[in-house]
Amino acid sequence: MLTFHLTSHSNVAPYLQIVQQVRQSLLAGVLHPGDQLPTVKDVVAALAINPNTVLKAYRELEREGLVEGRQGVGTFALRRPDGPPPAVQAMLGRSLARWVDKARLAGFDDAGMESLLRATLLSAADEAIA
Amino acid sequence: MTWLLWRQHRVQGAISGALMGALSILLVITGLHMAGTYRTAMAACRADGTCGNLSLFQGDGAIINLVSLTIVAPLLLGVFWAAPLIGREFETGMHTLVWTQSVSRRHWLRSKLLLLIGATISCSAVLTIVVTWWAGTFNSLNGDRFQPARFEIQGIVPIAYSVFAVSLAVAAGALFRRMLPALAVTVFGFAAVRILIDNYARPHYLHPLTNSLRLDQGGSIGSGAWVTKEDLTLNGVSVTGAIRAPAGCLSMTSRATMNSCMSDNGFRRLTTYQPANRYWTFQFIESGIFIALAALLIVACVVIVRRRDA
Amino acid sequence: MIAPSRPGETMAITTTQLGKRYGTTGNSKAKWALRECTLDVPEGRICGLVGANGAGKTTLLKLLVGLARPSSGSVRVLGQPSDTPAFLRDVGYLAQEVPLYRRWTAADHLSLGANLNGVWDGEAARERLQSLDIPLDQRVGTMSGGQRAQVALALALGKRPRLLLLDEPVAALDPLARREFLASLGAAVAESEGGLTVILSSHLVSDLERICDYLVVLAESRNLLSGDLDGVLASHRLLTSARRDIGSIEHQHTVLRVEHTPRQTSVWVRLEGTLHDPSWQSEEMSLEDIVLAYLARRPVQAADAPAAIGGVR
Repeated sequence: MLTFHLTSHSNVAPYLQIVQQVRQSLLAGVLHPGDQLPTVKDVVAALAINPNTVLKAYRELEREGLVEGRQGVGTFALRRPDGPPPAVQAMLGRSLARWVDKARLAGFDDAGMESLLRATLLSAADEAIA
Repeated sequence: MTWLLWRQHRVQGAISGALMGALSILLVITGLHMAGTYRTAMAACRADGTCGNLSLFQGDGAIINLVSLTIVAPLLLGVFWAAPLIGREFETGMHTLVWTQSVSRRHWLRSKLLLLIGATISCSAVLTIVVTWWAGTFNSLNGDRFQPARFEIQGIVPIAYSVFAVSLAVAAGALFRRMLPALAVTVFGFAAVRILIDNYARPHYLHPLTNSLRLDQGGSIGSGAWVTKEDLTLNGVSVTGAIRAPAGCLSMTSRATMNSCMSDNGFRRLTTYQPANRYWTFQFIESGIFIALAALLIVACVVIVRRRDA
Repeated sequence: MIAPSRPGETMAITTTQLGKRYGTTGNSKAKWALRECTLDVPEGRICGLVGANGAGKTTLLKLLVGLARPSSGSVRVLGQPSDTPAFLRDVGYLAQEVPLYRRWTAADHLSLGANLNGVWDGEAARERLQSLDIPLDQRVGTMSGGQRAQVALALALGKRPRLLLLDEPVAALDPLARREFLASLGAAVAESEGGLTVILSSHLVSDLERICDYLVVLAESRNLLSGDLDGVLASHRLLTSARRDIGSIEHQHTVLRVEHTPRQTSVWVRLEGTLHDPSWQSEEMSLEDIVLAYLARRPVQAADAPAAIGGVR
């Protein structure tokens, strides 16, 4: 069964953290179509969060067509989100690991790498808009 | 509510029941023994005509003291039963738990008060029945049942005192919401009211009778009467201060001839008293006063609990 | 207002100009514990009631559950005034001091619930405690604070209330017990599927941030802010800019706090519409910062109307 983690230091709203974790689990193949997601009550009992937060996350996932709520039974995964298949993901992960090694050799610490990555993402987004 | 009352007070009830049972058994055993001793002694003294100065039970001090101590029974009920009944619930904040179940405040209070008053009446009734029966022998030996130490632990007044004491304690508990002040008010309030009624009200329940007699005559007010005052009068006027005996009587050598001489000169002994047959009337009047006070306190308690915020 | 309102929601609680004064009327020592409190809490929400100690949180909860009577204004709870006996059936309450009979066992307390309530779900209450490994036959006086709070919560939930009022239930608990208590509470709300509204008071915002979806802020006996939590978060901003006059901001929005340094001006605001001026750098505020901004704002003017954010009136 899937377990969620919430961090309160993130700028991402709690419901979005759940949405992202479900999406990520589907992408990574941890969660397969047809699998049942934890019930609202289970998530709330595990994380001590507001039930409406979980409901909102599941509604958002339903809207994206990733999951399906079945009345009185629960919420089930429907399909993988659009994105690279697990093999491609694994390959990208490996090349990122190699990049991390290189950066570390070059003297970057974790925070430095994070800000570099963020800056790169931002400028990539700017280019996409332009 | 019945379940709550049972669960909350069952230990209290068991302890009180055990104490009452033990005391009753003790009094029944000693009471039977004393009645037997008394009958034997009476039979013996009637034979030789010495019943006038019968002296019995001089060595039974402990049990006699125990019976006298039942005078504080109402106070014990007030302190151990009534003051915590509502006062401790307030003090510990438990009232907010019970008042927010589905039982109304009014229902809760009524059940508690009914239990308290019912248990108090039962308990004090048993006690006074046993004590009154036990004291029967004593009353026959020395007839004045108006003596405070007897009047106040026999008959029906102990029940009224108890109802008053618990009403005072439960109202004090509701008012102060803490045990210590409630207990203080119970003890001092009860003692004060009892002393006031005892000293200032009881002698005046009914207009007393008077009897004016020559000094050389014996009394004829009947045994068991309550003598409230004895005055010396001269020609119907009360003598105060130093007594000036008439010159003619000063030469008298014996007390009897002196009394006779004084009486011839207009001196009389004026006895003010309540006759023995007023005993139950007095018991009813005193009980009525305490029950009325108790009723006022219960009403006050209900008003306080229902009006005040939790 | 930016906050989304949710039309069609029924209100679990509606208070109008609610006030409570302790002490006799006319007595100069009489003190308002709560005044001019007007707020709505929709059904099915977990509402956090925040404020400094002595801000009137306990008084408000006692007024809502009928343990105290209003000195002014009115309360409607679940559509009825809170002084009717029928109303008690639908409301659960847990006082700050967690009143339990110390010499009783947990099972005794559940029996109390069963005997004093017409509707009683004893099975669920027992399961709730067993799932937390709380022994039913242990005296509550020997339990930990967290276990006692759970017993009290099980007792309050056993009558299947539609409204549950909790006065600082986690204030005395350690972080783990606090988390467990809030998890139990959330699970009960999830189970009710919208049928249970919770009002939870605390002076610790971090307790409320995860579990609540509605917020009421009280300070100095007054209601300063109430509304949907998302709406509250969305409508409060910290604006910074090179040092300048804040007249344009004050005109359109509600300024909670201003700070001028020689070079910079910082303004904590509640947005009452779109922020038009792009020269302000706008940052989101954390819930804690929002609450602190309200609590630190003084003196409070009597004419200052409480903000109802995301309300449906």
